[in-house]
Amino acid sequence: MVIIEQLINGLALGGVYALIALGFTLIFGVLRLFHISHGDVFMFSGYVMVSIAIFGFGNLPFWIVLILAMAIAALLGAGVERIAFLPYRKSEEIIPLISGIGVSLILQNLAMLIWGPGQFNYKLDVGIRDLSFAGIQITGIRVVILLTCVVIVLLFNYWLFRTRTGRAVRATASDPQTASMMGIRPEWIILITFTVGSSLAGAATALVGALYGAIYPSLGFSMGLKAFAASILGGLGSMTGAIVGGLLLGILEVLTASYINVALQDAVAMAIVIGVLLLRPNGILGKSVEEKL
Amino acid sequence: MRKKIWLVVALVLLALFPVVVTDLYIQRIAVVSCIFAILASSLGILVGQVRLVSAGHAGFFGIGAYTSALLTTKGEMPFLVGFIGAIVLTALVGFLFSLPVLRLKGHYLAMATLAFGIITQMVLLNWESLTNGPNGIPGIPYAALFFLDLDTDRKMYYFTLILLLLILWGLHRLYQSPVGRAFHLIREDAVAAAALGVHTVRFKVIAFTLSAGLAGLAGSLFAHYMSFINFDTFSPLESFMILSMVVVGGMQTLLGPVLGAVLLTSIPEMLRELSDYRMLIYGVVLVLVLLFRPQGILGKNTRKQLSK
Repeated sequence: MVIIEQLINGLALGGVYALIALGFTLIFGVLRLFHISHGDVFMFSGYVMVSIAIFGFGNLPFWIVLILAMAIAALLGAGVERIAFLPYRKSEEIIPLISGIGVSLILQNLAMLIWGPGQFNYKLDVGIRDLSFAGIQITGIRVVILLTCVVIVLLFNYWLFRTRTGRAVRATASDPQTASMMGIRPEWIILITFTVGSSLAGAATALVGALYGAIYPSLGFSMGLKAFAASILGGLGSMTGAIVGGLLLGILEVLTASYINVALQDAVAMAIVIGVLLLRPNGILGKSVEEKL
Repeated sequence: MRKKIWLVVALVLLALFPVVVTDLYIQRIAVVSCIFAILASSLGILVGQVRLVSAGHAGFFGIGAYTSALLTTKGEMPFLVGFIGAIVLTALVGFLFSLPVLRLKGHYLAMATLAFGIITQMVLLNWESLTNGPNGIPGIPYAALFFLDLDTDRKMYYFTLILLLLILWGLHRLYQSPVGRAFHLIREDAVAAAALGVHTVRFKVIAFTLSAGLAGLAGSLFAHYMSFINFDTFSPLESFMILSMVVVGGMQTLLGPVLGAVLLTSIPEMLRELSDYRMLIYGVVLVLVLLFRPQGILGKNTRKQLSK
């Protein structure tokens, strides 16, 4: 029964990774840009969320905190896009990458200045008691995480594949020039992409907050790396890939931590990145793209 | 002619610098700037000349530093053995790493190298029997050439400066040679390069090996100058710093990475009183430089920038 509990733990962790990876891969799909500060948007909105939800208003109910975190991250992500990426649409791809590094430094150090460099502990109450079913113990937080992830992914899916805006986003991702000839404004779509993608990271930050109850300035970088590993694993630019990759990564990490060595937990993501890039650069679900040289 | 005069003036100024400025603290910054100038120039080969973005250069830097430090402390070898060992081993690692990885392009390559840097740091941290784990390696001896001990900042300054100038001279020659032109052709259009019969993979491997070897050289200098190293220095953040030096200075020019290294090493030192805000200002500077001079401070205007 331990193995089932661990699988559920892995799924919950993986669900969080999947949410961050979804935003990451969406932004990559539309802009062909590695949003290196995506993890820092996650971290910074986490800090703002905690400050407002706990110190501003006392303990708000969890669903309000979740929506709040999504709104904060959406605003922050859109702001980052306007300042750090908008000027470099036509530049070589290394320029926005460096610009993103600059944003990363700014967000991390701002967080350090405002909230201090150490770990910051808090408690978010999700309002569900722990479940016990046929000898399997599941904490209420993990149930909430799994449910939230499913709901958000379904909503996101509906938005991307069933609405006009979603169709415009997909059109821009597949061919920006043709899309703009069909009357889609690419700049508008890019802004929407960042807003939606970052809001997913905001949802993840609320869930991670409920799960660990701790935040620190470098959390964003490590989470960003894992989301990146997850989307590489599933195939960059693929939405299903990001979800599958995130869940797989979460399960692999939990299994590594409990059966091999806790110290290796963080190495899993990096091993995956190197392995997948070498063996199947398009990811396990990615279609093979014709290679230019 | 005019260029030559400027060059001589610059060389004289550089040579007189530690005689005129006797403040040890500033001399120390000058030495560190020289070491980072070598490191940034090594990355400049990849990023500026061939357009292979490495986001894990601190990994090569670290391998060089640890090789040299371990050979001279645990191995009790003289400095020169550690120095050459560091260059050779790092170049070898770069060569072996480049073979599978150079199939990747653009962002994918950047991310594979980022992962390489992170894994290298993990190895440095966790291979405790060799690297002392989190405690690092203390008591690394000073650099010494045969019977000349480089035990003062001034001597070390001249040593690193001469190495830097030699490397720059070598790179200058390289960039104008057929190899350098092949690099530039690959940078501008890899397909056209291949169509013209340039063996792109071979030249990329050459660039990667050379770059790694020079990063190892810088690592060795760093270890012997600091006399203490630990895994913390060779983080992904450091890789980003090196990349920023190259881009801020002007990645396609010979002297751009050098200028970037000097600026980004000395500016944080000047802001030492504002130490809490240091990295924040660093980030802001990075974003602003890109905004106003995306081609770098020394870079020439090209049609690729900004236009909308």
